[in-house]
Amino acid sequence: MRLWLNDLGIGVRIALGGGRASWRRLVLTGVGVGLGVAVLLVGASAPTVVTERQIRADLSAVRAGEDPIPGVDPLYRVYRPEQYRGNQVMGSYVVAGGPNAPVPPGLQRIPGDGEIVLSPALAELMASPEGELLRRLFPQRVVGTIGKDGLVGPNHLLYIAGDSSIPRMADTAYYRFGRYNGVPLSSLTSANLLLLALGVVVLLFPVLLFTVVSTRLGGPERERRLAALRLIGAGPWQVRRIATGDALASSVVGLVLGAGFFLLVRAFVEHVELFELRIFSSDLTPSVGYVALVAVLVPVLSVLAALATMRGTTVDPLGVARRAKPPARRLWWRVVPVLVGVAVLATRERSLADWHGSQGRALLLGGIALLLLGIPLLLPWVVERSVGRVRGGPPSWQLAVRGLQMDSGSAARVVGGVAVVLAGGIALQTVLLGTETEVKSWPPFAPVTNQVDITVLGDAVTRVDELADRVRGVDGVVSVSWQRSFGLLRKGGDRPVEVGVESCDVLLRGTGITSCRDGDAFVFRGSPDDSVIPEPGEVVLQQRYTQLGRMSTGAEWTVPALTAADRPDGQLGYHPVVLTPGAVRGVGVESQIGGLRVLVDPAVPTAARNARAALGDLGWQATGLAFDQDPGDPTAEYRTFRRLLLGGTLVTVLLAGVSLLVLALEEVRARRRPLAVLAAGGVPRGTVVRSLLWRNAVPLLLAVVVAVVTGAGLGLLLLRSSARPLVLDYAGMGVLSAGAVVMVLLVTLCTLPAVRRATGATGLRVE
Amino acid sequence: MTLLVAEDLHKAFGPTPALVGAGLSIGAGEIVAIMGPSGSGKSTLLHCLAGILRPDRGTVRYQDVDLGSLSDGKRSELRRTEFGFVFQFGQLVPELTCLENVALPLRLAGLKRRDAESRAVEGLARLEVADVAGKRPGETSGGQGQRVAVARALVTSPKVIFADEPTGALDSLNGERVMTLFLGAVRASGTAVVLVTHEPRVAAYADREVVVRDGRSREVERAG
Amino acid sequence: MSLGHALLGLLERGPGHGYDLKKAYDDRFGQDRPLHYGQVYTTLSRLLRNGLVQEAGVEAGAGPERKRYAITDAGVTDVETWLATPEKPEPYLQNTLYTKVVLALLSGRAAAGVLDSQRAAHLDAMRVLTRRKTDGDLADQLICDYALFHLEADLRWLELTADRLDQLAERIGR
Ligand SMILES: Nc1ncnc2c1ncn2[C@@H]1O[C@H](COP(=O)(O)OP(=O)(O)O)[C@@H](O)[C@H]1O
Ligand SMILES: [Mg+2]
Repeated sequence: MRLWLNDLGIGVRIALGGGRASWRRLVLTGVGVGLGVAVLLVGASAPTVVTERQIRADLSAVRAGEDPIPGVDPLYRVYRPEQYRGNQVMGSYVVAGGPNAPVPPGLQRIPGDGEIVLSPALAELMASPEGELLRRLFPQRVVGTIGKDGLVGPNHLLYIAGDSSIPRMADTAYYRFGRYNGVPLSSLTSANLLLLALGVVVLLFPVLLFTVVSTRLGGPERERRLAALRLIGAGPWQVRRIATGDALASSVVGLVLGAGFFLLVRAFVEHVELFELRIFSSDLTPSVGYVALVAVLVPVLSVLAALATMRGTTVDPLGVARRAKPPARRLWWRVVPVLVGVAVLATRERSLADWHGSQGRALLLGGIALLLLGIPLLLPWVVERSVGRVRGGPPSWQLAVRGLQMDSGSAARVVGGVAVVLAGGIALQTVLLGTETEVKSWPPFAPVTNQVDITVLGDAVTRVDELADRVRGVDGVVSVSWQRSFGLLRKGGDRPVEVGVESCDVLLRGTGITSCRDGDAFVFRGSPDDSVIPEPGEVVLQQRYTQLGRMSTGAEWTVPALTAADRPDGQLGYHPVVLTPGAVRGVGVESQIGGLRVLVDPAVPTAARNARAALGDLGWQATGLAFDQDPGDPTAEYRTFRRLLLGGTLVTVLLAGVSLLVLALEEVRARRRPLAVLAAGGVPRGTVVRSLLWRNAVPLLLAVVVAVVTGAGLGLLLLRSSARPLVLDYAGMGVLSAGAVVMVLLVTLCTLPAVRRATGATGLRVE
Repeated sequence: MTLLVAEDLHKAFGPTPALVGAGLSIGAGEIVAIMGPSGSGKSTLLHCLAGILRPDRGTVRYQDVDLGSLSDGKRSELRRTEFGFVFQFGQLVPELTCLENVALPLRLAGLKRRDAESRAVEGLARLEVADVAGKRPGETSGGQGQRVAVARALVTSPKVIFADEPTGALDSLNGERVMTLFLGAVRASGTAVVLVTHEPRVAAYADREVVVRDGRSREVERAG
Repeated sequence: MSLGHALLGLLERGPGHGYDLKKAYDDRFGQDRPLHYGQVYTTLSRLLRNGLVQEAGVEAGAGPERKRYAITDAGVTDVETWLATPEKPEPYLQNTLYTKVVLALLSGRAAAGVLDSQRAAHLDAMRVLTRRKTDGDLADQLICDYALFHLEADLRWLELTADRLDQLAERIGR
């Protein structure tokens, strides 16, 4: 045991042992491993981030119309979201129905009449110059800040205002906050969960790979040293233990640095917004289990990698010490994972459609993971084989190829990680694109910039004429009309169609309708659920809005003749069925809630906001809805997903770039003397640089080829027989491949100063 | 006819003066040994003569061209075409075979691989190391490696070869062999040699000796 | 190794009588083999005969009278030539070379010059041998190498001495 520790100690000393060169290597290793570890820790925090957000979202979840709970007073509450400069401002007006009313999460007490509490982000927005009109919407006295418990993320715009005029009725009474019976709120379908899991595997595995590669920095040099130890009499197991100590020391240094980097990221994360997402620092906390996993996995894998690359040192130390050509790699065990992966995927009859069974999903995931993770095993062999037979070419090419023939391992390992990312990225893009293409057949959304609807409810309905006059006075407002709506339910139907009442004036202005007389009725077809639209002459049930916007079923009504019209740009703002006031016979629309349809001059950018703010004093009784933002693009989720994926891929590729750079720098340093001698002999620096470029580029290009083939193949395998269109994401592949090329160029560019230094006369000096 | 003249060379590395007024002249085909204790500036002088380093002061003229007036690229080209180099060790590209190492300068000069390699074979044969042509430098002995290096320096038929301690890492016997073959080849082709060494027996292969002491060079007068 | 030159060199510092010279010589070069007094007188009389020294009066003292000798111009020239002329490179030169270096230092001449010209002479000899060796057969080579290694040893000594001249000058004093 003492001997063992002694051997490990020798290894640690080799890793840390003084001297500028070894410190340099230690720092490079530490940074390389540290960056990887930091990314891994961020990845390990992702579940916490998601669950914490979910937990807080659930905390605030409510359900109206519940049975009263004994001993609890109701909290009367009206939910009033607002759109402001493209931001969704959420919030509600509340009034306590007694001393025991539930307090919303994040609040100390229920705000009283005329009081308001704001989330920090909303408070900040309102305090800024851009928040001027918001201040008019929320003139109440600010009495506090909503705590973290009430917010999903740091950029959550949320208010809770006290208002005693809220109608106290069953519809507005709430007895508790918080989700209780575990109804999943997540909009992520199981397919998307599959993709998410896959994304994590695809992105984090290569990071792990780079991390391990970084601990093997200067591998050949180290191996030669170990071979020398072996030559002076160290036994094979002793050398392995020494190598273990060496690898352990490097990875521990990397872990410490990585923890530091992670804490740094954590400190700044609240200030960074990614894809409209911002997270609390405290949410970015990996669970202990994951931390332990990273802390164990990195050293263990680096030790394993060290031992695996030591084959030559133990078998043929003399050859390693003298830089002989390493023995050829064997193929058979390298293809096993890929073959198994393909086999699993091929046997999943209805691959993507089949994910519901958890066993099927596990198999599918396993197959994909095997296929992807097989790539880095396969790549060193591919590189060695492709390069092995190459002869000739210009001198720079010859230098590079010969170099790769001697040591293709290090480069191939980094590049293997890149290939996994690229292949996974391409596969996922293919799947997402397939799904998105299907969803895309829905009509596109076009923003409407000349219109804002202000819904009015409560008592304010009785004052619509006065309110309309107020809005008319706002600069940039072109017209204001009172727009009412009600519902019609087909007999036997379960959903009503909404019917709007519009004046001919508004219709002629705001839609494509070219002729209109009072008494006309129009229908816009072409939405996914045209089935709810009744036929002319059909007898249907009237649906009336309650004071708070819910429907209640009323008397029968006969549908008049409907003129089919083209749907106006954007499917929003106009109901599928529109009646002119003259066509509304026998419906008591006067008492219905409705809205002010405000048409504004798009050239006056503040017009819509000012129009809304003109009714700021109405509180909960008015809410604005603009159509300049895409409220619910069905493909948005996929696009976000794809962007996230692309972002993650880029981060990983960047990390690969850093790994590659560190490797290249080490390479230059290790070959300083031959480089210097070449330069002394008059070899143009360009030749040297080009040889380095080839040396980086050849493995990477091979990786890109392998990745594109595997990725596209995987994507097609996944989409096969899922009745989805087979579309290869050529643009994505192009971007990723181009990214790889740019990365090689950048890496080579970054090594130029080192090359310059190495090729000076200093490189000739004997150390 | 003088081929290479250096006058009043000064070179400092930071605060350390390496050369303080060294000079040297070499005629075509002449073999000059530069001797002196280690750290005296021999290598620095050689690097300045070969245009690898730019002296802080003083001139180096090769065939009446001032090396100081040439661009970096031009000096590289000059070294590639007119000069050859042999160092103490570690000068062969470890990944290339010995044959490819020797052929490399020719290939850089634009020769076809076949032609370059056939001339490299001749060069290796002249230094009696044809048998290691297919091996990598790591697989050869020190003496063989140095002879391959000499072959590489000679293969472009340079006008001057700069050799910095070419036998420094060899035992006497191998040193002798390298020097005998080296000098034999050089005399046959009329190549001038600047030979940095601290070994008198190696210096004895030269026609003439220059001593460098504390960065100053002294031509040693011939006695008698 | 010439005793005459050594005595001349010592006389360069100023006139002295035979006994002084013997003592000075023994101090500096004699190591553990002191000169016989007779050797000194024979040599001095030879130098006197050749006009390299002259008598410079008689010193009367408590003991017997003693002749004082002084170096002549011809004597100085002779010393100078001797110092400047490298010894024929051959084994076991150290005694002579050492004497030369010390005398050069004593007389304030450039001792480095002595060493340098000697090293040039050695190297010339080595060059000749090297050339002979290159052209010769194996026997020639072996013989030449024997000589070359000895010469190299001398040369190394020369180099070392050159590097230690300052130290030596300090030890000898003026
Ligand atoms: N690149 C350098 N940086 C700093 N000092 C240097 C450098 N090159 C040479 N020197 C210094 O210059 C002096 C002469 O060095 P060098 O020419 O290598 O001597 P030699 O070859 O005679 O042993 C030494 O003191 C050495 O330390
Ligand atoms: Mg040197």
